Amino acid sequence: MRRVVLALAGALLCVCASLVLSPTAVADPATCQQYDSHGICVVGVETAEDAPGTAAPPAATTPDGDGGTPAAACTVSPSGTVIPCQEGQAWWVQDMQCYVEAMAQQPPKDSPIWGGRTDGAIYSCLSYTGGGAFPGTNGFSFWSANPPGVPAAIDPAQLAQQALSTMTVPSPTTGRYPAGTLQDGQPFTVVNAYTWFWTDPGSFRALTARADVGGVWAQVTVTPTALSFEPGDGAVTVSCPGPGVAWQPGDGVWAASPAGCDYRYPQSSIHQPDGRVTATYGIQWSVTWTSSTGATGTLPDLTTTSNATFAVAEVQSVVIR
Amino acid sequence: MTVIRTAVAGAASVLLALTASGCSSSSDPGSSSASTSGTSSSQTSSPSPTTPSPAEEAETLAVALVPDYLGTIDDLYLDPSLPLDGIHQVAVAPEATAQATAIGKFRSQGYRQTGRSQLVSASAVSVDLSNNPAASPSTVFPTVVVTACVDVSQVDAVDATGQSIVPPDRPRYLVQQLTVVNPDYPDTSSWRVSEAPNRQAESCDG
Repeated sequence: MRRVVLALAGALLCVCASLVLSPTAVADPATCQQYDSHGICVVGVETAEDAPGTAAPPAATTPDGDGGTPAAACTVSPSGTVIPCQEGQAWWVQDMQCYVEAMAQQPPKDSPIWGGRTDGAIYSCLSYTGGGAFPGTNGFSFWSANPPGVPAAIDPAQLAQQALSTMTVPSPTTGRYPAGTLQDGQPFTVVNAYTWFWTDPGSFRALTARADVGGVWAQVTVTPTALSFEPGDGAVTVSCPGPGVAWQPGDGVWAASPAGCDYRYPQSSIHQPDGRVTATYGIQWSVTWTSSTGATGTLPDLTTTSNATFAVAEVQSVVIR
Repeated sequence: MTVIRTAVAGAASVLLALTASGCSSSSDPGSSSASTSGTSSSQTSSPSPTTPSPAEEAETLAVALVPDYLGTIDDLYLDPSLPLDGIHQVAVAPEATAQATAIGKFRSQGYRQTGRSQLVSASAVSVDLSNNPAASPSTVFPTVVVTACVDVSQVDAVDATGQSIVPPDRPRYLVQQLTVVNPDYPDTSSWRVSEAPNRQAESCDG
């Protein structure tokens, strides 16, 4: 019984292997599985047999955000002219020497191009013309189980991780009240007062980033879920669900934070090292991702932190008769 | 069940002889003498008196596809105005993709072909009519394996300056093993080449 293997990769790979070879070069017979009538190798043994189920290296990696450079040069053979790796929704597949994209209007499944398959998709392959033209038609359509030019075993979760690595997730600012300054210039808060803590709202909002490999993308979203405050006096961390609220004079000196972002130091920091405490602010982030493959998921939560060092002072009142 | 054939069945031979000769517009003596279809012709002198079995019919149709397949590829190389999607009339992936990509590159580089390949012989070596389009992970279609010998000595390709890009020591023949499948069996017009590995040879015997 013979099977028509549906893996794109195999198919495409055969093609890819073949096309790496310059038409003016004769392939080593030991590595060629199929020649054309001109004596040029069009299918290489190496890819057809040694690497079944894998596909060509990605044509380009274009993280959406800071950093990220194309993983591979996109060039026209044999001139070596460097061209954009992406043209609209199409991406350059180096080994096929054309821009590839899934056809927006997929042919009916009974079209011969499907070859009886029901999975995968029909893609178009358009040669680079550089704004000019060459004789004849310059494109064709083909079936593929997976987007060509993309590693067959690509893991969207890894792509999401890659997208996450391009993001700069903000650390909290260290807003606090009371926030006076002692005579020696040392910042302080007050024993038993509600010490409000907050972060700039700009540091507490969802962010997204996307990574593409060929036609596959993953988009990661980091969403702040809580602002935490570790007082630094040995007590447990407290937290509130938002960025907190910046204290205003009209709020009064002894009021609690309406956002619930506060902590009352029960005693002064006089016995702490250097007579101060170091509080740690933290923003907790949930990380979710979606992908063009339809797969979705989560990545481990993140926490970004900042520290603030200050004294906890006793306030002595003087009663005047 | 796989039926192994070591020679073309009667009806297939007839068709092969016809199509092969029809394909050969050249009067190349090597071609006609290599019309080892002579071997086939001798077989056709004693045709089966009964209706061909499904396997025999599949062999006939698969072998008959070979000259069409070769002719289509030649046409696409020779006439750059022809849509490359024409390859889907004779081949399916991965072979269709391999050929379309190769021809697309050929065109984009400004190369031109002259001459055509000549089918010398073709015969079915095995047939398997198992048909399970829903099989996972690999679809199973009725399949005929065909071996063919093709004379490419008349084919030349030149670059934009008229310089031949064909290696001077290119062997004269390609000995191919074609996997021919039918994704829409028993439709007789749906046989397609899905794979076509080959080797270069100095003769059809070697």
